[in-house]
Amino acid sequence: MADPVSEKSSRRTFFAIRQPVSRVQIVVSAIGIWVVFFGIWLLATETGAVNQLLVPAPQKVLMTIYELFVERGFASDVGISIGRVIVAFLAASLVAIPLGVVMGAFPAAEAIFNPFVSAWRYLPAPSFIPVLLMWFGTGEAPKLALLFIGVVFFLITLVMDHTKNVRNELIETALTLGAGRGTIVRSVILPAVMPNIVVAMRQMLAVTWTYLVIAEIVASTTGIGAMMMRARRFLHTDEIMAGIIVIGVLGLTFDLLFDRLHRWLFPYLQEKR
Amino acid sequence: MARTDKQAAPGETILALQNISKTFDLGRGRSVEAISGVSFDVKKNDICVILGPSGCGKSTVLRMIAGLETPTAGNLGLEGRRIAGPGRDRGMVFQAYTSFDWLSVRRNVEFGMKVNQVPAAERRERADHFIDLVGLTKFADAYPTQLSGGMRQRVAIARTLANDPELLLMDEPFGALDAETRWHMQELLVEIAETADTTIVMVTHDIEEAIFLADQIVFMSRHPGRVKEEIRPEFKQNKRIADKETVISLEGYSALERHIMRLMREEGSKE
Repeated sequence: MADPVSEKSSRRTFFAIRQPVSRVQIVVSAIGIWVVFFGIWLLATETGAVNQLLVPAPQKVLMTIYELFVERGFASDVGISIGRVIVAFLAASLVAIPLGVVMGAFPAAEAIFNPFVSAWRYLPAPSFIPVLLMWFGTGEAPKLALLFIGVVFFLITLVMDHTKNVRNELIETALTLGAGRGTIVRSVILPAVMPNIVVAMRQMLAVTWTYLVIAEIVASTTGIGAMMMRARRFLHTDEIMAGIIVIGVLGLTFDLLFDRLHRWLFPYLQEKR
Repeated sequence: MARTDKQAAPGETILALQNISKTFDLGRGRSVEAISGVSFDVKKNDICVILGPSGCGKSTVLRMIAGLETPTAGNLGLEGRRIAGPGRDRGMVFQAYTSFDWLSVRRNVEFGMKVNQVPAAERRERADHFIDLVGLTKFADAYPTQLSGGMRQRVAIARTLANDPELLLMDEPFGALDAETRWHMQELLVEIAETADTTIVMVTHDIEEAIFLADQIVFMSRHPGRVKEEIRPEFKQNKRIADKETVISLEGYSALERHIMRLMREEGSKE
């Protein structure tokens, strides 16, 4: 009697609500969805359902990526793009993290800077491109400035909000242990908010990539975006798609690196029980 | 770290509250009187428990002793000095966990001493002493996130005591713990009070906890918060007994418990 019952209950429903799935299933599912995507793409191009000129076959795009890197020195464009993202993002972080923490810790600082920061956050960064070009010419400066403007105000706000969420009891505990303002900001508030700052940086780095492409498409002769705009002129859709894929892979790689960084910096958060 | 400015001898008054009132401004010209004319003294090395129904302002009184809030009127004196703002002489343990998760247990306990520039060697020695006192020696190098709730509160107690305050203030420190852990922690606190040279002011709404721990109970009523009755549990005959069953079976325990329950009930009927 007991056997059929247990057998029945041991059969798992595929879509079971809130039931964890195995690691193998996660990997298979992740690969599966991409196989389906490329399968549809391949099918559409092979059957002639789409114009190959506008939608090149996936294998053609992969070949193009290979050619771009091996024969046409695309790596230097990629390097330039990565360099722009890193420089602009670091500059934005160097401004946003200290300012955001100070604004989150001291309401007086928030009262001064927040009206300014909130207003800038609502100005679309790309609208500054014409004036940035007039001010800085066509060198690296206008691109870096666009990335900086696009990221810094959001990052300040995120850091400030996370800092405000540091629990009051932690600060009051430090006060009753005899800590002064400086010590509390440096030794309690900053380390307490740091994990959330790294998460905010991870989110904003993705946004930086978006602005990078805008900057390079509009006003650049180097970088991934510029390559894509050149390709458009010669109807090289395969190169445009190659650029998109390279940007996607780069974004994903940076995201994973940040995830690793988070684990490495904050080992104590992994051991929660 | 022998402190020379601890003047009061055991049994003498160390903390004096005189006519403390606190009015909270609700805006638009409205205000509410949370605390009204609260006066009581705490003797050195005593455990003073402030007990009362929720909303009686007991936590506000404790926070004013800590210097985290300022009274609207009245005087708070520690060893004859007026309390103005928080300081290391009054360390606070909260109900919510306050361990600094990014520091190991040992560095948590060293935190206050580091802030107060205690030399590294002495810091280490005192930290180890108090970690041992709360029974966490095996976990000295662990992160607080690896510990249970009761252990985290022990870290908070050790951290405060290692900083050598004159008062250990506790705001419902065992409120978030399960019944069994709370009971162990209460017994541990009695042992600590016996071992460490410290005066404890603690807030709770748990009658049993109050009777078990207190040398002095300050019962507060609400709307507004006043001292309704000061009780010294005489049945314990000035002894601290770190064993709950023994205390509960003492003659006089249940009479006091009944008495305080009546006080609570009177407050309940006020609503």
